[in-house]
Amino acid sequence: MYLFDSQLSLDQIRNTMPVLQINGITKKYGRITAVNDLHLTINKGEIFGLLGPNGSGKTTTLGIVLGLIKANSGSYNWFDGSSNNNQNTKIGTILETPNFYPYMTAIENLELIAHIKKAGRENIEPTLELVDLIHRKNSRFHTYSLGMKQRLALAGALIGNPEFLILDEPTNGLDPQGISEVREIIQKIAHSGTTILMASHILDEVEKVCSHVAIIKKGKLLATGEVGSILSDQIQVELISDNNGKLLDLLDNRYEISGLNKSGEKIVFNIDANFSSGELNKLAFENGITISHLLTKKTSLEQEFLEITKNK
Amino acid sequence: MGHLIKLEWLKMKNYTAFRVLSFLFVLTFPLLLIAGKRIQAPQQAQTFIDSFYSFPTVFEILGYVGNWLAFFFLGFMALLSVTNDYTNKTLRQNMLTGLSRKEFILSKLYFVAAVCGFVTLYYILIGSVFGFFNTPKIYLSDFTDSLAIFGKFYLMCFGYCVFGLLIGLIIKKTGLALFIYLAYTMFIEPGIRWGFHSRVINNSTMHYYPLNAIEDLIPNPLKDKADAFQGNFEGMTIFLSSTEAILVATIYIALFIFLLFFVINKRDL
Ligand SMILES: Nc1ncnc2c1ncn2[C@@H]1O[C@H](COP(=O)(O)OP(=O)(O)OP(=O)(O)O)[C@@H](O)[C@H]1O
Ligand SMILES: [Mg+2]
Repeated sequence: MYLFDSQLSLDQIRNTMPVLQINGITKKYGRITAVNDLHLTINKGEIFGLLGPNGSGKTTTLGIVLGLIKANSGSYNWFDGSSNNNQNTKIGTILETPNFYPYMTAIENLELIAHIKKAGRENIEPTLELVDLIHRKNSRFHTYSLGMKQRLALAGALIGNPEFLILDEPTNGLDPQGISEVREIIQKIAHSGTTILMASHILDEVEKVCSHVAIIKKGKLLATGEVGSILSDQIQVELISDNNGKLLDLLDNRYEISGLNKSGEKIVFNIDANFSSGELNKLAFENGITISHLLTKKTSLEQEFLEITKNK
Repeated sequence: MGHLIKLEWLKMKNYTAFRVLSFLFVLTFPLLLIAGKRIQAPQQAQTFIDSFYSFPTVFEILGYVGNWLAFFFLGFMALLSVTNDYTNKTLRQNMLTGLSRKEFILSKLYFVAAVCGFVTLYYILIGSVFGFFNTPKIYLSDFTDSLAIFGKFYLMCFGYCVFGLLIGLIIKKTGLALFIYLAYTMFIEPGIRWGFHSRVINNSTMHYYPLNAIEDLIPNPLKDKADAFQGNFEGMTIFLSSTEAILVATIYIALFIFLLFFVINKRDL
């Protein structure tokens, strides 16, 4: 390793420092298997998205690694190999709905959290400022709107500057502006080196916020890796020419093509992201093929997500 | 320990039910005694009543008043402190924040232990004030002889609280838990004791039930006198002896505390 190659060493640090390891966890509720032999590793500095449709076992998985729910089998390890409950003092969490004492003010509720975490009170007000609740800091929790409650939950998770955040649908119930604010906050926090595990059924959110992703369905892990590699940003091409077959052959030498479909004269296929339509035109011209229709668009990740979860 | 008591205090200090129950307790405790003293009675009975308010009897009378109040107010308070954390899902949130299950139960136990301490001091204070103004001649021994009843009063309060915590933890829902707390103590347990146990085995084992033992720590002083007057009840008194009550109550309280930890450790939250 070269001393000046900071990128490499940073990557190495990332790759060699697991923060949370989940080893084959299974949880059954009667006949329903909520989590099915799940293996995951989350490394330091990652923003890890747990993506899956409703009821796929995201919340259950988070509940298990937080010690709330007892798994039927499997195990999990936190940083230093311990899995006791007090680990949670070092983790900031939003799990499902925000839970606070309704008769206490925002400040009082956060003071209680700081007390449990044995953290100082000095970052309570700045945190309320960050989530834009400072003007309501002395209102009781039960007077808050849903979006305000969700913001307070995020503030609660940030008390004590945890090294690890677990966020279950953190933008649930927020208005569009709130959603983008919360995403910004999450990214800001991630930049400071905090590791984040975030559950979501909204693909767009995972794509926008996360560096890594695991896709689960019915408690089973379908795919995991960097967001770019799993939810690859392929390009969809619609093409009509006087020799579709030959053109495809030519393209196939240079690019990876998938999902080929014909509808009448028109062919539709997916191609990797470094494809350029200029090159396609050049190829066609050089080989005497006339293109009468060419349309390229990025495949919607939504579609791809649906595909991954549908087929298995 | 201070950390956990403070935690519970932060939760309770703004909780309306806690404030109301504390206020009512602080108010009714001396008021009931004052009301008793205001009863207009024939001369003969009046001296009898007056004797209640002098040392050391005042502690028995006040203790018995406290017995009822502790059953209602302290037991309710303990029970509500648990169901409050269930209905608001804040128990779950506490665990997420980093409190362990064990610490959660300990914070409840330490807090009710502290509250019972204050209640006992209050009991001693009120009793002393009443005794001071109604006892012609006061001896130090009036207090030293009463130390045992102070201890029993504390154990009784703590017993109701631990029972309230347990019912709250098992039932989780406030209304139902309150109902079961009352129904068990007032109907179910006496029903089992008098309707069933005493018919099968009619001896003093029929008194070895948890809530009865806790109640008998500070028995009704009037019944005791009536008891002595009437002679024994089918060869036995209707109360546990002081030692029996302490022993049986302590065993049940220990069992309840064990169950508190056992139940919370078994649960998904
Ligand atoms: N306490 C419970 N009792 C019975 N079944 C449960 C319980 N909790 C969860 N389940 C079931 O386990 C499965 C996974 O639920 P979970 O809440 O983990 O899903 P999720 O991925 O978080 O979904 P969502 O996106 O809707 O939040 C579901 O089928 C659910 O019905
Ligand atoms: Mg969920």
